[in-house]
Amino acid sequence: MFAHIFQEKLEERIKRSNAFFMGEVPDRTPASPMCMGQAAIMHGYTLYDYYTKPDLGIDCIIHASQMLDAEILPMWLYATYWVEDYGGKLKMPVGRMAAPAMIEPACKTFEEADSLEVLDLKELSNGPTMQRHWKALERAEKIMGKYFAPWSFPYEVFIQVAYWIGPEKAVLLVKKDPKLLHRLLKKAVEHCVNVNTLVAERYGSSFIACSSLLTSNTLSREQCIEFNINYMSEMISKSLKNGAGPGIMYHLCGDHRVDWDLHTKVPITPATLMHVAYDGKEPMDIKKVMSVFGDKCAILGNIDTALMQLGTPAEVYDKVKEQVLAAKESPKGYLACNACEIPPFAPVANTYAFVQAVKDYGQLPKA
Amino acid sequence: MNNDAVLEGLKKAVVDGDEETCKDLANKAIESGMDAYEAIMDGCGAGMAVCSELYDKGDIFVPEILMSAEAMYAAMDILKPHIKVEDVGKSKGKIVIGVIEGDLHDIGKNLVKIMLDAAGFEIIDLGRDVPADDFVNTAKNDKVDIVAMSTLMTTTMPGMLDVVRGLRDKDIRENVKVLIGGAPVNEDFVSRIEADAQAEDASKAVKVASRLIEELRG
Repeated sequence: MFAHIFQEKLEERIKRSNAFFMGEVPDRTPASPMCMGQAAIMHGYTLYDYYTKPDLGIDCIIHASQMLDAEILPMWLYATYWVEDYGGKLKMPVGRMAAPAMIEPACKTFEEADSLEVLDLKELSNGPTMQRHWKALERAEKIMGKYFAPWSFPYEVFIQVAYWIGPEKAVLLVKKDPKLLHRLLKKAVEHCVNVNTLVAERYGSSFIACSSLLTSNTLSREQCIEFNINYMSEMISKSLKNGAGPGIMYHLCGDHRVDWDLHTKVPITPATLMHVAYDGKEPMDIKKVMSVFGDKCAILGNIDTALMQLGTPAEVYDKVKEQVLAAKESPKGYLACNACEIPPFAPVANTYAFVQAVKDYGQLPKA
Repeated sequence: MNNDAVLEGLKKAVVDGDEETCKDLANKAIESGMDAYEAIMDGCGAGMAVCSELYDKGDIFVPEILMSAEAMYAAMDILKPHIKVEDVGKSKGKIVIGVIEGDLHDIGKNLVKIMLDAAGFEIIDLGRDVPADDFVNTAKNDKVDIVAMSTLMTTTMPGMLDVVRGLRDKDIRENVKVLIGGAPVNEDFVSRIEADAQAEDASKAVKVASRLIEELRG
């Protein structure tokens, strides 16, 4: 059971989140802790419930947003989208698992992957992943009404290849058979464009949430350009032409010390969020992120997820305060956020401390 | 081709990720009656040690390491059946390795395993999503020197503490070193769970494991 949603407060939070995209300055920095699976735990559900019942997942996120009085981005998704659609096997979270995980890729051999056909829009729409995604979107639309912003989740072009043949084999192909890898990446672009197009065709637009993960500290800068950045750019450009966007979130998940600044080459719209997570084991210096992306797009904060799990509320509060003061006047906007999803079983007191620090130090001067 | 040339050739072929040359030289080593263990350690292992240094310096990345590993294992498949009886079981130390329960990300663990294998450690690989009890029971039953665990996820980090507690409950903590790794792991976490060390990446894991073995053996 969930509490009543207070529409006025919901609207206030959404307007605060969206202000930067409209060229406006909100009253204060949006507090957008990446509270996803944690939202389910807060409401007494399991992660299995959260990931197998997308409509419940959306309820959890939106009500967590209300409980925390925070501008949590209302997106339900998980990192192993599209594994099942091509015949791979997924394990839904049980025990300490934080999220659904791939236990078997779609193809056993390189030859099988090479002959794989990309799902067309109808097949994709009827597949297991999109069926869950539609449920999440429908529930979000019902609760958020005119403020609903549909999202699509192509994730990452390179990762899609990894879901077809397995992560190690995908990385190995960079040296073993780059021509085959390029063929697979072209297919993955087509798949990702279809994902974005599908949502845009139904709703008229689509906030594209995409990522760089597997290529982060795995490949050299040159390899990142050849096998990730170029394909990501192509995927986003084609998706925008097909009506997806204008919202884009680039989530540079994990350690991006090698390639983070290469993302200046990807398409950036007026409604783009750049989210750079880690530099080695520490969050990327937010001032460095601002210096490269600050005048191009809004940036998302990157408070350490390990701190959210292991730190005290006072430690979290201090780190958030420090980052908010450093970044809140970034030219195109700054939204306080974590480097990645808050570990679902992290103390909720730490998430409260996060939000409180943003409220205490995030006041913005009127434009 | 003399023994030195074979060893040097194997080393270079591993660094270059040249599987065919590795197989060819492994066969030549066997045909010429060369010591298989020496070919593995001073040829293949030496090659992976070079890869480790290059990786550490940022001169090569994971794709190159995986290519080198493929080449190394191709040679080892040929050489291993010819290891002399007295060399069987000869190792720098016995390590049980795995990804902690709840986590299925194992690229990092596999890279560490490759490097440790090449450096002459005996490895028991429990795979991924491994319950704490499996680490503890293997440590006890197989009399391992090091328990090596990794996780990519912050959520599963407490599982490492369960392993440390399990080793203590079985009264074998003093005989076993605990080495941990993975993106969210740092020195602070090593202290918190009373592990012995962390390795930032695969190349450092060999050095840290060697140090832990030295500490263990006094």
